[in-house]
Amino acid sequence: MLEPIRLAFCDVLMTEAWNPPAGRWFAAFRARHGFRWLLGQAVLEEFGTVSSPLFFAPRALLGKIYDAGISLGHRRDHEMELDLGWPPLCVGLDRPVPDLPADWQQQLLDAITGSTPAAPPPTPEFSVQGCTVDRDELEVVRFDGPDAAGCATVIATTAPLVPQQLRRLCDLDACAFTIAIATGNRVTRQPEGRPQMIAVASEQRFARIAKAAQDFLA
Amino acid sequence: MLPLTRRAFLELTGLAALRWPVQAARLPSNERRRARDLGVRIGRHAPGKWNAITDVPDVEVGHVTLIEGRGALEVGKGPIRTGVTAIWPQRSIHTRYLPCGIDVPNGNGEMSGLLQARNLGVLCSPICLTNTSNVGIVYDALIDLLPHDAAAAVVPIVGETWDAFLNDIEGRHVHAEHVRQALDAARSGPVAEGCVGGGTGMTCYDFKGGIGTASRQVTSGATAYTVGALVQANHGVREQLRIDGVPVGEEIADLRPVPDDVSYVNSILMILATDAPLLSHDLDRIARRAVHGLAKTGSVSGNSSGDIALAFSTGNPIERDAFWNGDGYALGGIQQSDMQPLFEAAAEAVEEAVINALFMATDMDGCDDHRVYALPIPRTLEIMRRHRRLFAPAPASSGSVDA
Repeated sequence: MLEPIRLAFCDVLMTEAWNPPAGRWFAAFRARHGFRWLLGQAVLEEFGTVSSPLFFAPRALLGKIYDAGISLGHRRDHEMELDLGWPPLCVGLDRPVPDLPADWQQQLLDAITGSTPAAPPPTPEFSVQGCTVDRDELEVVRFDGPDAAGCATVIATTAPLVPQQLRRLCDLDACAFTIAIATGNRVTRQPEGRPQMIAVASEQRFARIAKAAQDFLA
Repeated sequence: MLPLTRRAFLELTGLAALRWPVQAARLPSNERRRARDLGVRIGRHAPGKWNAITDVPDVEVGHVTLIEGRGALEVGKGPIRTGVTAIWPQRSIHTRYLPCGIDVPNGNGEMSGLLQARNLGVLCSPICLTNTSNVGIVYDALIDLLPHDAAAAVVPIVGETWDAFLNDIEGRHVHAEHVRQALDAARSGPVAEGCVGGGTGMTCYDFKGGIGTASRQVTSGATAYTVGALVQANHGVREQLRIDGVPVGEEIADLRPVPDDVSYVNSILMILATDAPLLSHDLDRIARRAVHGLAKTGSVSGNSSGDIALAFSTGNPIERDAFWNGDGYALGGIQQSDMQPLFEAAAEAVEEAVINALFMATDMDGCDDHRVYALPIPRTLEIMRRHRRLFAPAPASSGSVDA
């Protein structure tokens, strides 16, 4: 569901292939243990959506990675709107800062835009668990740290969950940072400003997904 | 019986508003002065010496303004109408943290460090304001300035607003050396306003906007404190604009941006400083008053607006080592019942800072010959006079400074 791109200095989780038509996914987050390395927060809180890839990088590199995300946003559209990759969602991990190659930004952009496959780094930096819950897919990506204060989690599902449900999924985790994303609704621009129909999972359906997520997070 | 001066009599009877119109209206159309210097009087509390955020002791402000090229937009080359504004809450901020609080009336914007402000409640770095696409670059430059052992622990504060109507935003013309220059240039005293620093290319109520600042001095409990505000104003549509309650935007229908095909309901960054010894949760409350001042200028926080307020106190410094290690530390705290004057001061300072941004900004053209006109001051003063909201100009001590 989430397509990982791994580089020595940054991991990227793609929610869809590079440069899709304008659109957003519902999302929510929780931060614990004093976690504070997040860029893109205001939009995520205000609108409950994301449209950018998810970037995970050593904390001290967040500015550089954010700038690469801005480059991607501008490549999609000069105005770089909410549904076209802005703001880049960047999460800082408790990792040492590697020596950056001179062309690090180009490597990152090429890997995301698909022009060059990313060379896998030597050791895995995250684990992926997944299952199907009735007709909904669920995936949990865990970026490990020395303890709960140093780990981060991504919970992704194809179920049509809305932000308040996604926040409840995040509440099941104990990591310093948890983000939950649902691809069951793609929020898009509607012709003539008509309302968009949004599907919402029932509490029963949500409970089954939450139970499966909890099993992974335990 | 208390003697009633002629000035006090005029003010009490409302006649003061009729007293100084001719002098103010004679201002040449291209001269920029601050609102208070021309007889626009926002609120009821007195400003500090400079009527600027720098009236709060230890606070320093510096700008780097980048203006280059004209004509057609060529990404990476220009025209360039941007910059960076740096605020030192105090020069030793890397080792002496300050309590801070935030408010986000509308979150269609970016300010790094919001979680840090919320979770730790402290400011650990200078604050920089720039445009949307320069955030990463400025953030990275601030990381480089941090002590090596702090780089992974501290989230620098970088705020943005969108200046692509006039500026080659995609070209990202702010570089690390500009951030360093702005930090080095920071001073106390008068603050340049209008088309400077991060505010260079900004538009406000469809007039030229940018940086504005103001301050208030109030007594809280038995102690006098200062509250200062600095805004990067890039928000609002013309019809909303109100100055001291007067619907100026409705009365100036011309001088619209060229081309007039985009409704720029963009963003505003509001930085508040005070020397009152406040805790983080108090500063959240101060930050929440910023939007009240903003609203008095007419804004209702548009959907596409990133309206973000950050407030900090220089009155409660926290040694870095004590913050992270050891048993703890002590902070001063004022009585909650004494917060009221600070709330008023915060709202008034933000309101006047927005108006100062409009008064001090000048006409500007930029990408593809787009043009944004400055607020026409003589016409504005005439409107204020008709509405009986034009008063005696402030003494010349106000902190006006050329950009």
